[in-house]
Amino acid sequence: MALDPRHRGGAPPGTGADPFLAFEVVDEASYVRPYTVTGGRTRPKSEMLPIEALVRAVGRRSHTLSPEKRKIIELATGQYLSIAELSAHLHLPVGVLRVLVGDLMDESYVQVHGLAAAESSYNPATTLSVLESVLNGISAL
Amino acid sequence: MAFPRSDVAGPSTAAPGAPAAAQASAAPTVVKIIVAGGFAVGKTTFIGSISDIDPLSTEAAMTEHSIGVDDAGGVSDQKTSTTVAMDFGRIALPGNLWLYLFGTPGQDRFLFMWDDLVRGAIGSVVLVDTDRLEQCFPAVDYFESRSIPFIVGINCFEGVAKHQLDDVREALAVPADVPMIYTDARSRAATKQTLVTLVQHAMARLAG
Repeated sequence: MALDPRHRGGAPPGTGADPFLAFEVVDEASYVRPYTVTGGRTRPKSEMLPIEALVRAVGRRSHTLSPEKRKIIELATGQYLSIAELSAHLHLPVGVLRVLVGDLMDESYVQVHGLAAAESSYNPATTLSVLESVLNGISAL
Repeated sequence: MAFPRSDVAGPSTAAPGAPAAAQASAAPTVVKIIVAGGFAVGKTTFIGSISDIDPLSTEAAMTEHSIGVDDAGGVSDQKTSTTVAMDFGRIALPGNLWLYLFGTPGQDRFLFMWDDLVRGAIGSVVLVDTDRLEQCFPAVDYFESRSIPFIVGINCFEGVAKHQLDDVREALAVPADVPMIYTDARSRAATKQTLVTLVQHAMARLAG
């Protein structure tokens, strides 16, 4: 069977179909509503927490926190969990978790690790020794 | 939803403000690999074949640019946000390393901008179904334009390769230095080899 070629450097030929039908797009209604738990706030782009940043509760608790924040603290107690995992477990979009975790970090309820890549001071993914460890680790699986 | 968690449910022994590195349970170093490809190409199967945790699903907002890409590389400023379902898994590696695998769809006539997701990533595995080759074009375009290390993994459904690698390479118009391999998303061994190929490629790029 012949393969249709890609045209380099350009957009692929459009099919004319509604792009949202083909995508694994989430219903917009279910996307907007969760932002009510952040009071409609998003976090400034400069403060965006990486999706893989690891969150861990420091041990402080408070009953005045929202149920979502209390759930984050509960999940991140005694273990590290990424923003992505917290998002999945709370059934809330990543953007919402960024705001909530950012708040908890500012209020010293959690520590967040793995911010270095975002600050571009140190990126494990471009550090040869880290890549060697990843390579050896995967090879040994 | 199954996921491993420590039995230790009590408050952390870490004093607030104490340097995490000083604790026995220092935070893992986190790295990530992006698994891109069209709808139903096998991304979640690929991730699940090697992940320590059952693949989880979340929603991420992504900014998309419309297709107004001209020959000079200029892109229309029109941006809109949408959300896509994103599946991911996690592998704990020796040396207190956690590798996350994020699967993200990328097909159709919109060029998705994954800047947020790919920042700090080792690179990407672009999974390809040769019956629907065009679905991987946006991903290849994206990683190529951003000089992000990527490899092409041709997912062989039913274990059958339908096309020669050279033919696929020619159709994708990817240079010879981009590794292209057959893989099988259902096979842990094949997934492992695919990830090894990507990391080796990223290392070669770094050294080069």
